[in-house]
Amino acid sequence: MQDHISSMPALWMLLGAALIAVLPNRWRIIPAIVLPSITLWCIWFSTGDSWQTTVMGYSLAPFQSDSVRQIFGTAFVIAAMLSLVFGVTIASKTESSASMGYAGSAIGVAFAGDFLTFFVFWEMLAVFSTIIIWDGRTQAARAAGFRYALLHFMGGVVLLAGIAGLATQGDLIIRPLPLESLSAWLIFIGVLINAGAPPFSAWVADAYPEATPSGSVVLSAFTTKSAVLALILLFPGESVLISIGLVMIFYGIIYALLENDVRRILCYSIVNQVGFMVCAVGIGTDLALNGAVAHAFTHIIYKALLLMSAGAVIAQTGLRKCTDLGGLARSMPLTATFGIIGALAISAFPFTSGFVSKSLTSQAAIDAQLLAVWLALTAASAGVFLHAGIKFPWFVFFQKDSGLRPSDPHLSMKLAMGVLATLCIGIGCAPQLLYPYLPYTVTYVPYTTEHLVSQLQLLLFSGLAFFLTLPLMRRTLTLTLDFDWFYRVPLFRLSQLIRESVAQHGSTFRLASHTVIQSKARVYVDKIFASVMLGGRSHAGSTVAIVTSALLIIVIISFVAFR
Amino acid sequence: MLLLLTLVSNLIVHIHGYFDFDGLIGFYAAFGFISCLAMVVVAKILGLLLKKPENYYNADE
Repeated sequence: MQDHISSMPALWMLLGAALIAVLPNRWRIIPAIVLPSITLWCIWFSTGDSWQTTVMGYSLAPFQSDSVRQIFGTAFVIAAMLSLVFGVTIASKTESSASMGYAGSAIGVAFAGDFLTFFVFWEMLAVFSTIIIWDGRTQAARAAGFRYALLHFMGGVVLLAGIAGLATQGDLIIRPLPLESLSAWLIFIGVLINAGAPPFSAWVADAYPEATPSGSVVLSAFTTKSAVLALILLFPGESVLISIGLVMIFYGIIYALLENDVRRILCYSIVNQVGFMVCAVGIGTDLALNGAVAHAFTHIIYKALLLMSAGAVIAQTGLRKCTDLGGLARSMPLTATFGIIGALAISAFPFTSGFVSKSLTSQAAIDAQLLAVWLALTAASAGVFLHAGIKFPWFVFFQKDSGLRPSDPHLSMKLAMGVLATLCIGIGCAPQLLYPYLPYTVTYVPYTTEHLVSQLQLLLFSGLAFFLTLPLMRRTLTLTLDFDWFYRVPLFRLSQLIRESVAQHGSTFRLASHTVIQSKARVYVDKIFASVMLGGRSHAGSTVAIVTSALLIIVIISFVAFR
Repeated sequence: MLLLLTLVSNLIVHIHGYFDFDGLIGFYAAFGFISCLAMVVVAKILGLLLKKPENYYNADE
């Protein structure tokens, strides 16, 4: 038992979170480096590669390892360690500790072999990330954190309902689920909410940019990518994911093109990039799944790098909008260089990590003879260069001279960015560093003259399109409406109406409705316990449906209360 | 300059298309350029509908 616990990587990270919370602030760099290193060791060299146990008649596997999980785990550890180093001078103790816990939860999700463990870590992700958002300590951060938490707990409820349904039908082991039962669909939806899939994509760009500069870096790495991992493990080859992925890809590009806030541009591009991965999971061939895994790994690294360079600019200037920034390349040369490396990597420029990972997915679309998908992916690659590859560095570091002369940031920030930039270029130049660890054997060769010429043509001519259409893209002081409008405006008005009428009709109505809701809730909670714990398998489907709808109503009501 | 260079190199390096049309000279250049224009225009049109002042959600608080 002790062996098992000490070989569980997530627990080491959680220990780190506790240590950072109790140690004096100036020592926090020690657990921030040592514990992720131990975790990394556990991920790759832990002897018992799975831990099985039985609880309440269900066999559980809290620690289950394979090559896909190892790659995600490694990316999570790298992201955690470097974002803690990045934030060492600016992050509060709460934020650093929560970041470590957040990373630990993501690693827990990554190595969960059963749904119960999976769900516990999944909810911890939501809790820790909400704390990080709130630590932005502004009114906007508070409100965005509430919206974020409520959406994610709603996703968690849907997921739990699915898991409960699954438990009544059989075991809880994580393995590919055919989308045939209500429970599988509920799990599917719960996971997709965390992936940033439509219609609930708005939370990414709504919540992440409200954290501190270092908080945004931490947030970018874990929630969406653990959802991608869950999709790979649970729903490989579900063709509906191809369309969902494509919608995410173009949603990300269009919204990023309209956006003025630097970090929001990068957050829309998270949705865009996760769309590529979701699409690859939907294609589902060996090559496509390799593509999804490789892309997730390289994406975590270059996205952290991009948000770090944006974060360094925000930390040095206190400004976050394209309209306020510009011309910083002269006074922040290192930050600009690192930002450009990240931007080239996300655009899949040759000799960067994006080039060797994203092309796996394109090739998979070709091999599967999905012409339309391939055309869309190619157009999207051009679009990535447009919205993230050029737009971000151009408006921040070049464009006009904003008159600002901030210097490059603190050494710790430069160090973190330097390591990530080295990884971006290192993997790009030497794909053999990454390919052997992918789940399936890679025969694909990224560096052919044809691929180099075609990719350069694609990217350079998108660049030309960017500069020709610059007048169309003049930055404006605006926000862009999204699906969240529905719960921020009409639902809020509705709540005001209800509140007013309740106030008019006196307290009797309020008391009555209160009791009704409470007793109903109790009945449903009893029912779910009966079906999950005692194995009441007879009316599982209907219970799940009732519980979900009841909890959904409760969650929607709480949405209304915290607009 | 660079743009021309990639086009010229396309004359030398023949790209074997995977489908019927993607081996044509300059296909990637044209496709990238046109799809980017299309995305910018779509964004512009959507922007007319969806862009709101920054204080849109907080205006009445």
